[in-house]
Amino acid sequence: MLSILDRYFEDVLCTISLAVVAGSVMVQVILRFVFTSASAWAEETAVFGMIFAVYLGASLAVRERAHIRITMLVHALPRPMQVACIVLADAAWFGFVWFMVHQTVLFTQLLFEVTYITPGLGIEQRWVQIFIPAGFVLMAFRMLQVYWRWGRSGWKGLPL
Amino acid sequence: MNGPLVMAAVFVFTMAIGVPIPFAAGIATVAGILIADIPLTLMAQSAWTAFEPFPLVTIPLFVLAGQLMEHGGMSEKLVAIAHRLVGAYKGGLGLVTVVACMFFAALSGSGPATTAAIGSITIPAMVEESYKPRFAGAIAAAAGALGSMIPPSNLLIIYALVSDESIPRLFLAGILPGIALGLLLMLVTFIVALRNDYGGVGEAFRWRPLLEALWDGKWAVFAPVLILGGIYTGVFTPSEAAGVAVFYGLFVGLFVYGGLTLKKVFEAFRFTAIVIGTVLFILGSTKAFGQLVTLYDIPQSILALFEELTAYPWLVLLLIGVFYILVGMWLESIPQIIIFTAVFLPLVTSLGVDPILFGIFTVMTCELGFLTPPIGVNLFVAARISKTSIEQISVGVLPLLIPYIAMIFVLVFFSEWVTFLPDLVYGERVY
Repeated sequence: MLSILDRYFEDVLCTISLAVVAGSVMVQVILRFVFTSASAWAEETAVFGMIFAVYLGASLAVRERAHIRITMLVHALPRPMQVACIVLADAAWFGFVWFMVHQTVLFTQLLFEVTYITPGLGIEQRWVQIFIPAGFVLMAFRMLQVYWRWGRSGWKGLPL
Repeated sequence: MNGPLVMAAVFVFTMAIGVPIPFAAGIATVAGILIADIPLTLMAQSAWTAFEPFPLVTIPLFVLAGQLMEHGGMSEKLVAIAHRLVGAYKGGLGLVTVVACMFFAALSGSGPATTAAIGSITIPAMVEESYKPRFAGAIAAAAGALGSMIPPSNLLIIYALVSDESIPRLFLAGILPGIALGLLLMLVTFIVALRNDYGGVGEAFRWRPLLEALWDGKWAVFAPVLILGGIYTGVFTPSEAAGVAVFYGLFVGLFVYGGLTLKKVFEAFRFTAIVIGTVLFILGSTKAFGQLVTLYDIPQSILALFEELTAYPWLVLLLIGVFYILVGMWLESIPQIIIFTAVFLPLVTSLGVDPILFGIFTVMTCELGFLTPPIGVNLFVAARISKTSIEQISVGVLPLLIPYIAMIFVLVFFSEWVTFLPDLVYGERVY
């Protein structure tokens, strides 16, 4: 069960989010033709779907190691230096992700002190905004997972 | 401390040790914010607001539509049509690749996707006709780059968003340079094929087979008509056209050509998620970057730097072009456009360069970056399909870079024809 969750969590959520984006835009087209009026809520669901898909996709790409790195310089170094470089890079990367977790949590807390209703769907902005820190936490988790797997494989190769 | 310099140093250093580009840009932006002493919550805020502009949804939708159309069987039909059109000449399959890429570029917004869609069919066929694999791969890579020139184009959408220009206008401006580039690529392919005696064994051109192929591929041919026609007749906005394209691709792939299975649809979604997660993600970490650029008055200092040269706008453009190509060798195109448009656009507009023209110029130079190592995404894709090394493809692509370089010079010295179509449709721009 856990391994299925681990394997497909982002994949399925991404697919749903993107389907929401495509569906909302299509609904907007249809509504505009049938009722000749644009709908603010469909625009909002499309944008929310895309934001979710971007953050989940970034986390998925951490797991799949699909983020685009420039490794030409690193590969020119001797092996111990390669490892040092990549570990340093990942530490900086993790530091940034954790910094974003911290900042976005602070920012979301601010939203809990005020009321901001989204114009289209009429829901509180904080309930969608809370997704951003969650996305960064997921990304941090996936980064640790990459290192855990690297350790289990006996530190062979590079965790790229 | 000198903010911009520190930011540039941090960005280059973190990228060199292997931090993925969007995060390196994020770290550099944090450094800039700290030096400028602005509240750090700006980063948290832009992590959300950067994605709020609605036209952005166009990009994932076009990526998804391209995936669905490629796997749904449309690329085969387009190749078949191109084959009937130019297959009989010397270097026939090479010409077929270029023409099919031009067709596919009219339904896809991305260069690497076009290379993959057409190259995966025509590269093996070319190798079978004893083309050198490196040249076969290079044709698909070079012609695939048309994907971001001929509308729709993801790069032009990003440029439109950062420069506040109209997307349909930029799309229209991309048509003529895109077609001209395609014709030049065909010419080079033809010359190389003539010298190496590649291909040219197909049946001579006849109308009937062409019409049959066109009829057989009518669903694929109708896609650009729907997408571009929809945008220019004002029926759809570009974002709506992208949404319609997704459902059209899904419908044709599932029910007409039958190339799609549920598994393939899921794969297409997954692929799209990874693309936007790795590429579009950078918007969130660099929204604050744009504000810093204004805050530090970077365009002003660049302007001062170029003060001696303001009498020669062409020289300034050429210098920017060389810089863009050098940067494009290392950086993905979307980050490049986001970061440097903010810096250079104010400079060139003050010299009287049309922002639309500068958009086409920017994308053209980015495409050259696509085609040069070490970070040439098109080359990676083509190398994988043709089963050769990046180094081999990089050599093979050299003659095909000539059309791109020629087009950049043409854009710098003769620019009126680029804005001819948009001016014709939407009227002259008023400044």
